[in-house]
Order: sequence, then C-alpha cells, then structure tokens
Amino acid sequence: MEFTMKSNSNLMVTRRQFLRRTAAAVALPMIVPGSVLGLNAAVAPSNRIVFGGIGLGPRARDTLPSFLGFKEIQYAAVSDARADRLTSAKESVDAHYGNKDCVVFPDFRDLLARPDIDAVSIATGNRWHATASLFAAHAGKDIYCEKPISLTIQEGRRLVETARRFGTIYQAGTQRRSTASYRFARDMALQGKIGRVHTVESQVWTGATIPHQKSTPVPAGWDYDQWLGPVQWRPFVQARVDNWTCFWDTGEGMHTDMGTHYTDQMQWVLGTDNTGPVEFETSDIIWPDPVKCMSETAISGTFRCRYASGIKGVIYQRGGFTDRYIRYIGDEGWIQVDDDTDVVTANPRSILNLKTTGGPSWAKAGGHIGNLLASIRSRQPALCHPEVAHRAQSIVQAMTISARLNRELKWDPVREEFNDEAANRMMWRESRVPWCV
Amino acid sequence: MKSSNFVFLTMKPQTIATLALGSILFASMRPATAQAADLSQLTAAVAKWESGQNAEPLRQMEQLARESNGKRTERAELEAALIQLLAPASTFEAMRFACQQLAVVGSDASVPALARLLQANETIGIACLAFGNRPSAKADQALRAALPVARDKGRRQIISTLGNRRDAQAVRPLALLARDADAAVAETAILALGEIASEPAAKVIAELRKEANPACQRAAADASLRCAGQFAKTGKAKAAAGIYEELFAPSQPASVRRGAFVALTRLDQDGGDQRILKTLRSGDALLTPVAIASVRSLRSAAASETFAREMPALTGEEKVWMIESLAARADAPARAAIIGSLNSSDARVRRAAAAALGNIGGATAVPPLAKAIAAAKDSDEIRDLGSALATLPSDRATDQAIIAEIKGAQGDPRARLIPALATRPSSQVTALLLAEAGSPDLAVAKAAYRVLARAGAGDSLTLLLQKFATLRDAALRTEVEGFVKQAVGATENPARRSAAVRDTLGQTHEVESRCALLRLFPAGGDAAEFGALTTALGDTDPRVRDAAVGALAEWPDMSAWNPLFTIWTKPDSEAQRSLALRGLVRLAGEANAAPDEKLMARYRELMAGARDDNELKQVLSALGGAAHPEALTIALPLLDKAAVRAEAVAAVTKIAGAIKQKHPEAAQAALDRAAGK
Repeated sequence: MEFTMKSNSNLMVTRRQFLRRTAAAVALPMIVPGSVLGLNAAVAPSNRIVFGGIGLGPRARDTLPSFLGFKEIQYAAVSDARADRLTSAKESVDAHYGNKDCVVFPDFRDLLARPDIDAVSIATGNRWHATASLFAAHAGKDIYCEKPISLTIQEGRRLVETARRFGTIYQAGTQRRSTASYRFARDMALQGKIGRVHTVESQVWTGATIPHQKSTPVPAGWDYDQWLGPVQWRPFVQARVDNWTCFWDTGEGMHTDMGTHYTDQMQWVLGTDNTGPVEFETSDIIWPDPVKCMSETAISGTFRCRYASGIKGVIYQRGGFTDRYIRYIGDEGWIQVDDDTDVVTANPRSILNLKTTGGPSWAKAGGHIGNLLASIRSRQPALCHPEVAHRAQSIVQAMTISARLNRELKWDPVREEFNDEAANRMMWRESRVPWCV
Repeated sequence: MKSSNFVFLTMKPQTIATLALGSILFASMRPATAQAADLSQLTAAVAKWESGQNAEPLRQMEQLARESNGKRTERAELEAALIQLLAPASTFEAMRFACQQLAVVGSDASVPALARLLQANETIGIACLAFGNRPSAKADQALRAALPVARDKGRRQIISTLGNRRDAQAVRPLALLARDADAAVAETAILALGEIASEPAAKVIAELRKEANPACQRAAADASLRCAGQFAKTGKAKAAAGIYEELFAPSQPASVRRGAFVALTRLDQDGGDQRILKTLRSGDALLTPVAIASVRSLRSAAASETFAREMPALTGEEKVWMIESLAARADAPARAAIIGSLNSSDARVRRAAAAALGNIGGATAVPPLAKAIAAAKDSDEIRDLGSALATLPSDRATDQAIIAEIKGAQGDPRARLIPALATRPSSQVTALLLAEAGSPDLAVAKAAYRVLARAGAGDSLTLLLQKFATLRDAALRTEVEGFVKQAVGATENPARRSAAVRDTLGQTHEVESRCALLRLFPAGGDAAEFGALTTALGDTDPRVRDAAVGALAEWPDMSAWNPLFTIWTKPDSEAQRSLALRGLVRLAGEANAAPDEKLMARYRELMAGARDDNELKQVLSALGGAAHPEALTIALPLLDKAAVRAEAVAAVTKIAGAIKQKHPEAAQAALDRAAGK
C-alpha cells in the first residue's frame, strides 16, 4: 500500500518504504537515550516505556499531556489517517521533548512494526478501537485504548482472547475507576452506607441527529480507506464521517459510547466484572426522523438491564451534555457522582462527611495511565483489563441490540448468548480486509 | 418509532404471507393487494437509494425485519425482497443495506444471490457481511467456491471470513494459500487456519512454522496459539501443551513466549506451581514478572505459602509485585506474608504491603499496621500506613481493633491512629473522639478535633461544641477552630445546628471561648444566630463586641448590611471600622451577580462614606465587578482623583467591558475617558 499524503516531515514514512528499509536491515533510528531523555530526566532509559500514539483526534489531544507528563514514558511515534493531525501531534510531542525525534506514520501498522515501541495509546474513532487493539496485541505491544473498546460483543470477546493469547497488558480508557469521586461512591456502596444496592441509575446526553447529505469525492489529505478501517466500504459523506458516532457501523450511538463508563462503574460496584446481567429491555426510544436525517442511532431512550440477583441497571439517554451522572440506589439511601462536575451527593448527606480523599477528576487520566505503567512493568492486570472492559461494554451493546430489535432479550453471561437468533447475529460484523487480524 | 408513517406497521402477518404468494392478480378484489404493491414499491424505492435521499424506505424495511421475527412466511417474504435488492440494477448502497439486513434475517435462500456478489471485488465485502456469523454449510460452500476466482483484497476477505466462520472444510484450500507468494494472502490464510483450529489446521500451521518463512512467522505463531487455545478449551491438553512448549522457545517473540508460558501453567497438572517456581529461580528477566503475576490465580491451596517463601530471594521491585499477587489471593498465608513485609528493610516493599493490607482488609490487619505506624519515621510512609488503616472497610471487628490500638498507644502514634476513625461513625467512636479531644497531648487533641469535624458532626455537635467551649489552651483553640467550623457547616439539620451553637454560647461565660463560639455563627448563618450575633454587638466586653463584628463581616447574606454599615459609620474602634468595611465590600461584591438599583444605591453610600483613599480603593475593587451602567457613573468621577486613578481605570474598564453589548455608547465613552481621550 503506497500512501499519497504529502508531508514536509522528513520523518514521514510510508508502509512500503518502511518494509523496504526493515527488509534491508537498515534500521530506522531507534530511541537514542541521550537525545531523548533531556538533562533533567530522573528515569534511566532502560526503565522507560516507549509509546506510540494511534489516532490523534480531539480525545488523543486531551490525554496526550497526561502521557507526556510521565518521565517513565518516551512518546516516540504517532500515527493517523489525517495528515493535519499527524503534523500537529508531532509538533506537540517534539515541543515537549525539545527535539524533532517523534516519527510519524500514516499507517499504524508501520508504527507497530517498530520493535522499540513497547506500548500504544489508541484514541481513534470508535470503529477502530478493537481492530487497532488486536493489531497491537498481535504485534506484541501493550495497550491503552479509549472506550468503547469494541463495537460488537464478539469483537470484544475476541479482544479478550487475543490479549490473553499474547499476555498483553491492556488498559481500557474507562478512567473513572482511577478517580477519587467514583472510588468514594463505590466504597460507600460496598460498605453498606446506602443499604443493599438494588438499582444503578445513570444518564448520558441526548444523541444528535444528522441531516441527509450526498456523497462527494474524498477530500485531499484524507486516507478514507484507512479511516473506514474494518467497516465495509461505503461512499464518502462528509457529515457522516464528521458525526460517525451517530451511525451503527462506526459509532453505535451515545448510549453505547458514553454508557460504558457507567456500566463499568456498575460492574465494579456490584462485583460482577467476570459476568453480567441476564435481561435487557428498552423503552421510550426516540429515533431520528428518516425523512430529514441520515443518522441511525437513538436520540433518546431508556435502556434497562437486570442481574440474576435482581439488581437493576438503567441508563437514561436524555438531557444535556452536562447532565450525566451515575447514582447507586440502596434500600437505605443513595449516592451519586455528577460526571461533569465530579461532585458527589448522597442521601443521607452525612455519608459525604466520610469523604477523606480528594483528587483529580476523570478528565485527568494520569492515575489511570500510571496504573497501566505499573502493570506493564509487573505484568499484573491493569484496573480495566480486557475482561473487565468487555463485560462493561457488552452490557451497553446488548441494550443497543434490544433497542434495535425492539424487544426484551435474555442473556446467558456464561455462554455469552441471547435467547434470540437475530440478537445473536447482531453480536458480530464481518470486518473488511486488510483491517483484520 | 417516533417518525412513523410506516405502512407496514399496520399490516397483518397473514396478509404479508398472502402477498408473498404473488396474489397480485387479485389486486382489485382484495384490499391486501394494495399493500403487496407497497412492498414492491418499498423494495423499488430502496433499490434506488443513495446517500442524501429520504431514508424512510430503509427504516420501513428494518421495521419489517423486526416485525417478522418468529414468523416464517413473513420472514421469507422479506428475505425475497432483500434478495431482489442484490440485483445489479440496485445502487451499491442499497445492496449494502440489504446485506446488513441479511446478516440478521438471512437464510440459505439468499446464499445464491450473495454468491453472485462474491464474483466482484467491489461487493465481496458486503457479501461477507451478509453471511455474518450464522452457521450455514451452503454459505461456507459458496465462499470456498468463490476463492479460486477472487483476487487481491477480495480473496483475502473471503479467506478471513472462512476463518471467522471456522469452516473446517476450508483447511485444504487455505493450506495452499498459506504458502502463497503474496505475503499478505499467506498471512491472512494462516490466521484463518488458526481461527478454524482443527487438528488438520494445526498440522498445516506446524509445518509452516518449520518452513521458517520470516514474513509469516508472527502469523504462524499467532495461529498456533489460537489452535492451542482451542485444543486446551476442548480437553486436548496434551496437543495444546505440545504447541505451547514449542512457542515457549527463546527464539519466539516476547509476547508469544509470555502467552505460551501462562497457558502452560494453566495446563500443568499441579496448576503451574512448579513451573512458576522454576522460572522465579531462573532469574529470567522476561518471564519473572509474568511468573509473579501468575501467582494470583494459582489454584493450589499451598500456593501462597510456597511463593511467600520465595520472597527473600526476590528483588525489591519483585517483592512489590509478589505482594500484589498475594493480596489478590488474600488467604491466610498470603496475609501473613504481607504482614511480614511491613518489616522489610525496603521502604517500597513496606509501603506496598501497607497498601495491600488496606485493600484486603480485616481486623487482623489492624495491629501490624498500627505497629508499623508507630515505628515509621518517614512522613510519606506514615501517611501511606495511615491511609491503609483508614481504607480498611468498616465493620465491627475492624473498628474495635482500631479503637483498641488507639487506647493502647501514646503520644504521636496515638495521634497518627486517630484519623483512621474518620470513616467509621458510631456513638462509640464519637465518645472516644470527644475524650481524645480533651487530651493534654496537643497532637492527640488536634487529631481528634480534625476527625470530629468530619465524622462527628450531626448528633454529636452539641457535645463537640461543649468540648470546644471548655478549651483553655489558646494555641489549640486557634488550631481546631477551623475544624469545629467545618463540623458546624456540615451539620445537615439547620435548626439543630443553630440551637447547638446558641445554647453553647448561652452556657459559656469565659470570654475567649464566647468569642470563638461567635466566630462559628457565620458557618450556620440562620436568623436566630443572626439575632444572637446582633445582641452580642452590645455586650459589655469589648473583646466580645469585636468578635461579633468579625463574625458579622463574614455573614453569608445581605441581612448583615445595615448593622455593618452602622458600625462602619459609628465604630467603637478603627479595627471595627476596618472589619465592617471588609464585610460590606464582600457583600457588595457577591451581589454583583445580579446588579440592580438597590445595589447601586449601596455603592453610592459606600463612596460617600469612604473616609480616605484606601477605603475608596476597596470600594472600587468591588464596584468593578458590577455590570450595570450606573456603576460607570459612580466610578467615572474617581478617574480625576490621582490617588485612586489606577483603581478607577481598572474598575471603569471592567464595567465597560461587561456592559458594552447592551450599552455600547456609554461603555465606549467611559473607556475613552479612562484612556484619557
């Protein structure tokens, strides 16, 4: 595959060039400790973990400072299908280290082929999360991957198996497990401060609607084939690309995307990280008007699940961006974390007097990344290892399938099967080559 | 669905079935035939669909797919319509849509039509999408049949799909493709064989590994791991172990060796204990951390004891990892080993042990943690140990153990243990804390007040206040006053809180204590407290009056304005005047959130009453935050007063900036004047 994107960077390497060079055993300049450490570095080069970034959109730019903030990390390379993002990310990394060493790769497989890269941070569009993770694990890299970790249930299970096969250390970007406010809420629920938890309620914001738009030629600077990745080919439509979260095969909607943060918390609190609910149903789903809109995913609705223990989970998709929350409801009270403000509220209020620790909100990913770094060294599972992440993700995916089929579904969390053939078929979408491994 | 003009929503299943039989000849005689025409029209509409067009036909067809669940005839009718959409006359997007639907509702009936799509590279992907994950021998056969003619990515797509479908009959053609000159094809075929993971597939992959084609080695290793995993899952342990042993070779990539190592431990008859032990003792840098991490999930009852014994031979970092694994096991031997690590000479190990004990909890963790806290010298370590103790989940036995340790400790160690009570509210804890608050040891007393402030408010507030009111040590009183104020503010019931503070004040005669209690009033701030505070303004003792003015200056709402203004204009002392102005400026500043004429009148009063430049500057600092045109009028004259001009310019600039949208001319004029134009 030869890429046609242009760049002024002499560090831009195409896949074919890369393969040629490696085949001829002319190694790319590997990380030279003296040139990358800086004078004040406290971490010996042999102890540093070399990272590459895959996907450099807005979310990656949010977390990049957290990665760069660790002296244990050397951020050595970046990859994105968009030339503008590659250039911008390289500039940020180089500015941090005061050099020009960050290497850019239009094709992430070339980044993965570098033997000096230990781990990758994946912050692509959702359609790519699982696929890029599978490629990375296959290449022997450890992984930090933003949520949602997969778009289908079987894709998630495949991720779990692949990480197990290679002993991959993997951290899902469900950072709230590393956030003081959420930890406090969990501790209070586990210590029985609200009695027996019977319901976990959460809310994500109202989904967008995207008006119809005709397809156009792919704009210059875009590698649309790589942008689509595992998604079976479809014509380029700018608004569909820009709003990929609103389409089934690229994003699965806001409930599946954001809801996984809360199902992750729910699983954590309920101690069900290796299993899941047994029933799913939805109500009040409002879909986009097909006359006006091409977007496919729900605007709003109520998504429910029930565990074998009788405990219920409910996700509301409604309200505004800042209205998101999770609330644990017990028979003696409740405790809630407001996601936007990180403020904890409770009934009885006296629970809040027990809050002993403060800390950065989920928006600062440092704690979560730190946990990954410790795991990479120790090979102990990270907080949000693949099984944990997949189980949380599969809950919102099952809810979404229930909504799309408009019927209640029963689920066997051991066999990971529905009682419904159509639902079982919706657990998998065949990936497009060459973007499968 | 919200936006539904769906004609088919009202269609009876039987009707659709009838239509499926092609009863269009009777269209004019039967109402249902109109709906048959609708299905035909719907299919025709979808067939022409492209991005940018009304998507209602697509949504209607999806609705039919849902509605036909469990209804064989209706489902067949729908599938027939979807098959029609695969015809060459349809747009690509229509075909793609049909394939998405067939992935969910398709049967073998659609296989021939999908097989036609496998003949063109452009449509192979969507055909494979349609085959999905449903078991179908016919689909497998169609895919295999298409393999010889497919080229490039299309061929790889079919190979990949055959692998995902775990088509055992595809092993032979895939075995040939696994040696294809095109490395990408070969790699895809090898991975597909790994997915199939039958014994013949494993045999082919094993041969490929020996052929040592460097381009395919990683794929072959991955495929072998997949086969071995499948064998292990299906009870073929020996075959699985054979593959894993080969992949464990030092020549294999690190990740393959790690994966094989862990898998082998799971297959070992002893559960992996001996293999892990051997690895630990070998000093293998790659596998030692993996071995230690594997300890957490070992099945043997003796595992914790076995590996705890290895601790002395490990490096400091490895000990930390082992503690993490033992903590995950959390059985008695693991707990004992972790407790023993609290005495390590390596601070990292001690702190890891403390954190682990905090997580695994239990009353038995309390005495060793308490002992470690008493012995610790480093402030960070003391903090970590205290945090571990505080983290222990609250239960009766644990709480009692902590109380016992506190009672048995003296001096600093006692003070270090007290914070662990903060998350354990109970009447017993409150009683202990109140007793500790009276300790002659200032560190202990301070620690007790700090915890009471968080956990001891509410029902015990009166007792806390009474204890506070009896304090005679001025330094301690100053130190803990903030904690008590925090407790007052955190008390949920306003009436009870107010009564507690007022009652305690009424029972207290010592002047300094009365002053300290008065300073707590703003933390509550209700009308009854305000009344008590204004009464104190007339107290015979000037120290009490000053304390009351100070409290008034911190009052949370505008009810304090008038008394403060009176004090400002007629103070007992300069100190009172200064305090009062500070309170007035703060209140005015807070009222800037909703500036009105009344507030402007108050600013004018302050300007008029300001006695010197310093007071004018204070008023200007608040006035600058008032987004009101009148605020400009008040501030502008001060531009001519040299001593306060800088503050006036700042205020005018800020006000003008805030009001320029609504009052552009006044704002610009003010800015010009501030700029000296």
